[in-house]
Amino acid sequence: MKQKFVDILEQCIRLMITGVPLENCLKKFPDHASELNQLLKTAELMNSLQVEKIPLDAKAQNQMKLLALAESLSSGSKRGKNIFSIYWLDLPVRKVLQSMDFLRPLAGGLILALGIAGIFIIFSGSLLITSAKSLPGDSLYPVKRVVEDIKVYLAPSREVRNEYEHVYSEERVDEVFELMGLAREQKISFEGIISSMDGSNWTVNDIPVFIQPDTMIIVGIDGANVMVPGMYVEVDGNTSIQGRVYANEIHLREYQIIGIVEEISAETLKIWGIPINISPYTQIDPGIKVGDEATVLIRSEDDLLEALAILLEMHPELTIKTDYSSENTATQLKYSQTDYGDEQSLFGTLEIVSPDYWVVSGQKFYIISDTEISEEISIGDVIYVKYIIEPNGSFTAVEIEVGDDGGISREIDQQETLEHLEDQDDHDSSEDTESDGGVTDESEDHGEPEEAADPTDNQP
Amino acid sequence: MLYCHSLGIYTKIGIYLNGFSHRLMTSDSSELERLHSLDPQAISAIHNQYYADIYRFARFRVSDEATAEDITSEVFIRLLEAVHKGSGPRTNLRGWLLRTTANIVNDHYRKLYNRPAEDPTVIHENSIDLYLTQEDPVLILERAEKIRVVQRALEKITDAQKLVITLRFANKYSLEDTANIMGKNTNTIKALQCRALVSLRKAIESDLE
Repeated sequence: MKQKFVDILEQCIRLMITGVPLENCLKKFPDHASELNQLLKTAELMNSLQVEKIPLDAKAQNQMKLLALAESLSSGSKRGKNIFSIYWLDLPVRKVLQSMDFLRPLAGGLILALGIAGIFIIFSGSLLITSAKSLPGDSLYPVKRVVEDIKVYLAPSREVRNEYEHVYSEERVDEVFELMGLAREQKISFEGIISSMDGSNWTVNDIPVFIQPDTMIIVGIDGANVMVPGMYVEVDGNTSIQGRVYANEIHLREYQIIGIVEEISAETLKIWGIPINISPYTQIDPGIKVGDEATVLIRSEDDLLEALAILLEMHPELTIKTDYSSENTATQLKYSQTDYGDEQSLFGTLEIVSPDYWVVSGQKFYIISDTEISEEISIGDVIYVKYIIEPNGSFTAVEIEVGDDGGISREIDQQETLEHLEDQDDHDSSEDTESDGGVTDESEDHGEPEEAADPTDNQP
Repeated sequence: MLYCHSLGIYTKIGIYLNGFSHRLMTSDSSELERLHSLDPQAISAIHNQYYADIYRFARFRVSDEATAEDITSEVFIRLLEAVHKGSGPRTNLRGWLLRTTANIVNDHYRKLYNRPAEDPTVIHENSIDLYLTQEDPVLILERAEKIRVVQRALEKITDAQKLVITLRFANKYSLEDTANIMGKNTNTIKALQCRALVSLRKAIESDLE
């Protein structure tokens, strides 16, 4: 029965396709009319959706495309059959490409992304080249500075980092010269050494800098480092059409302080109550601990102090370095333990004056707040220094005054030294010549001056 | 009661079908040989012979002409690629082309259903410029709605049922030709056709309710 119905249905469909009306089909099979009616109406609907119009333009285009593809495939086959061709090289490439078929749906996105990346690389490359020649105030100047910062940040070693910083510091100076040559007024910042200070007119790295009444001059910690020629400073200001820089702010860039270490950790050092940052590049003498006296080389950043080096303050040995005593290095002087805290004195020529110490006849005397210093002392003067010997062998000046000894101070010093040597030899003949330090004792008897070019000649 | 207004189309279909029944189901072996050698003349001949069949098949199943054209184009490109790789049709070229068309149409709907931003069977009225055509726009829209209903119903039946309906009513193939293309005997096709019409009727009724 079922088979019969499907045969009847097929027969009706054939009739319907040839144009016989649906009603005629139903009349021909009245027993199945009700069943056939719904199915033939559905078939009629399907039949009514006959596609009559064939797009001939699309067909022609498709045919041309197909023939081009056939030509392409055909030429590819011929090339593959040529034993002298490099077709065998294509095989691995094809395999790789076939293995990447899963990327086909993403191909469009990938090509777009690669294209954008390529354009970005080309654009950014030319941008960097162009920005390298820019000056402060140019639109590309920030790009130049960012690139420099990145290069410094990514420097593989401390040496390379320092080299970059040095190069870029010189670049800032060159930019200022260029701006002044172009008579452009522009905000600038550069670093350099003060070569001269004549009132309001300073010279920093050969750049004339004009100090205005409101120019801020920032010195070191607690004003301990007074700004003098030779110091390394940073100048913030503006170039002018007059060919000089009007300074808005000048601050010490690098300086050193000496003090007792109050706190020290991996990140911070505190000295004179001031925290100083320690970076991975900070050079630190081994064994520095709280309570040690240390010299800290500081670099002043905008809002913080960074320690470039923290060195254990090794007060110099008493090795008289002037010509008349240089030979004494063979038998270095040594002070006895009993000399600690005893007051000594010395005549000598003042050679160097710094806030922390004075150098008299080649010897460094540390200045403390209690040190009494008479007025009107200048470099080159012969002075009289009263001092004490610290336990670590350094000298702390107690009193300094002009000491006009008639030009015999050197001879006295030398005589005292020689006498001290003799005393030491007499006192402890077994003492070897190596010493931790030494001092010239004050002597009531200055004795006769005599030349002592060779310490061996001075031996009795 | 649903389709009374469409009875007037029969005459036109009858005229069209007059030259349709003489098709050969098996392809000429020499034609296939020339195809495998990528002979341009053979390719052109095959394209001319089968383009309309494939386009009708595709157009019956998808909602707009442009998609049908793309699918038809894709079928011939796949044919050449398959021939080039040595995996093309060996005996029944037309059957291979129509089965490939059916597969591409199914892929098309699968992709659309994977991103259901819109009804995949929505008729794109924009594909017909109502102001340039000679036909009555009302009739065009009625026909478009009819196609939409049928296509939605077609997507609810099995692939084999879809294929038999398309081959019988879109391509106007005989029962024997359809059986040949599908690789089945005629009795199976008759039963399949019957089940397909029952399923379609139910699908259409449920869609209109």
